[in-house]
Amino acid sequence: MLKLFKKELRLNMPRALYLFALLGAMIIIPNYPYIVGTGYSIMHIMLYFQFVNENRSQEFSAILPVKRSDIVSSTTLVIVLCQMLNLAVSAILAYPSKLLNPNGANFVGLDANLTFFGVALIALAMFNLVVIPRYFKTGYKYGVTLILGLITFVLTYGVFELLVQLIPALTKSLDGYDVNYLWARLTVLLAGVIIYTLSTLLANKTAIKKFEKVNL
Amino acid sequence: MLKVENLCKTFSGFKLDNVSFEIPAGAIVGFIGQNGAGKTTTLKCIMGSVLPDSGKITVMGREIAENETECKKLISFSSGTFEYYRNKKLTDIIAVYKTFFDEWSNEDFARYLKEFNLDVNKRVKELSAGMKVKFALSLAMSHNAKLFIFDEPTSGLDPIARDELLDVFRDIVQQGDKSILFSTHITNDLEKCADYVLFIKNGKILLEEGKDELLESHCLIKGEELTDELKSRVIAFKEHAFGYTALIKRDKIQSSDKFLTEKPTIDDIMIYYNKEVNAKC
Repeated sequence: MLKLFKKELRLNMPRALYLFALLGAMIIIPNYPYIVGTGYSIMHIMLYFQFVNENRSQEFSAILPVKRSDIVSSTTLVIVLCQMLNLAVSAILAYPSKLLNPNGANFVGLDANLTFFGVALIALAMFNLVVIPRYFKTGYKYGVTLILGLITFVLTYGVFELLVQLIPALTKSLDGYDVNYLWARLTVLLAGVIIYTLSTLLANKTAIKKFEKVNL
Repeated sequence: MLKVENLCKTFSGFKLDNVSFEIPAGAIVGFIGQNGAGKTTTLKCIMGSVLPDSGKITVMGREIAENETECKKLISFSSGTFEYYRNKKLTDIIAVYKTFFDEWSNEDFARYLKEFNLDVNKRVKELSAGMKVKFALSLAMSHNAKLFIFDEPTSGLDPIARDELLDVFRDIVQQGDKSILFSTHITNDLEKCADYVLFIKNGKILLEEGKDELLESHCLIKGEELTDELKSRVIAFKEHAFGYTALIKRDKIQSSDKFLTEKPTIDDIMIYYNKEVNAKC
């Protein structure tokens, strides 16, 4: 499977596409909805799918001595890579973001704190649950799939954001940088990591079942 | 080497119907049939790109469905051309492709590159149709596979390159432990190098015979008047202003028959079986 993953990176992921990961740096824009930067990982994934189709990569993989399940898993790994690179850039710049915002606060959404990363992971997890199995129903159709994924991503993040902004107790504990509530923000981050991991594994497993029935 | 048993696959408007055949070790088998007869679908089923509804495919005694990765290492497949990764340099593709095969041979690959005059620094989109075929075949022939499956490998090649390729085919099977199954529309290639002919029509295998036996057992007949009795014995016929031409099995010829006979070509056999007046499908 790792050989296939390397193949994807070398043949279907031109270096220029990694620039999308740099859009995670939008977290340093003062008073900005930081999730927009995370959302650009979806554009990264869309262009990757486009290269897979243009290159007839699935057909090429089918003549290699690999299992179909590995074709799915390597694609899932590429998706995870796109998302994690983007979040890593955001994470590196989270502290400068705090310094750049007046009083450290973001007035149009969650601050660049652990809650933001936890919620972003949950939104990406829901995106993966929708996109990965649906894409592997055919192995090439991605348009509607990505739109549905994007809607899911935005709605998931939006619901959490609203809850945090509208419920004062949550605003106090989850937004901002108060060290007294570090445990609460850490809990959201941990929940995000767990949900992201489990959802992506489940999405991959479901996609494998679907792809086993596809004629290439 | 390869055994296909009762392979079935139904698409809307097309059915692969109980396809069964065997490829012995050391043989070159030509797979013929008109467009849409089921050649590519059969080959794709063997490679697992198309999933059969039923049937069993074994390579060197191992069932593909249960040993996909191991079996695919024994098989080398080329779809006749190379239309993948058009913007990539051949060197990039080679570097990735060879990592999947334990028995990849840089020496063999370098030999084919030299023989086919391929420049690995070119991008796929810069190759001519013939060069793409040669690149696909060079990849396919450099990892010590036992069974080579080629889907119309000679269709994009000029006569000289085709002849060279057929020589390479003969070299591959010379040791007796490797086999080639290739589909083609250029039946002239079969006459030059195939040991067996596999003829598929409307998703069913119509003929599976040694090439020489197939040519020996059929006869092209020409005459002026085609009687109903003769019509019932021929496989198919064509009538024209000066009489008729028909394909008949030699054992159906009677001593009292008065017509001219000719040795048929594989093209003739394919064309007349396709008309199938009396052929059982």
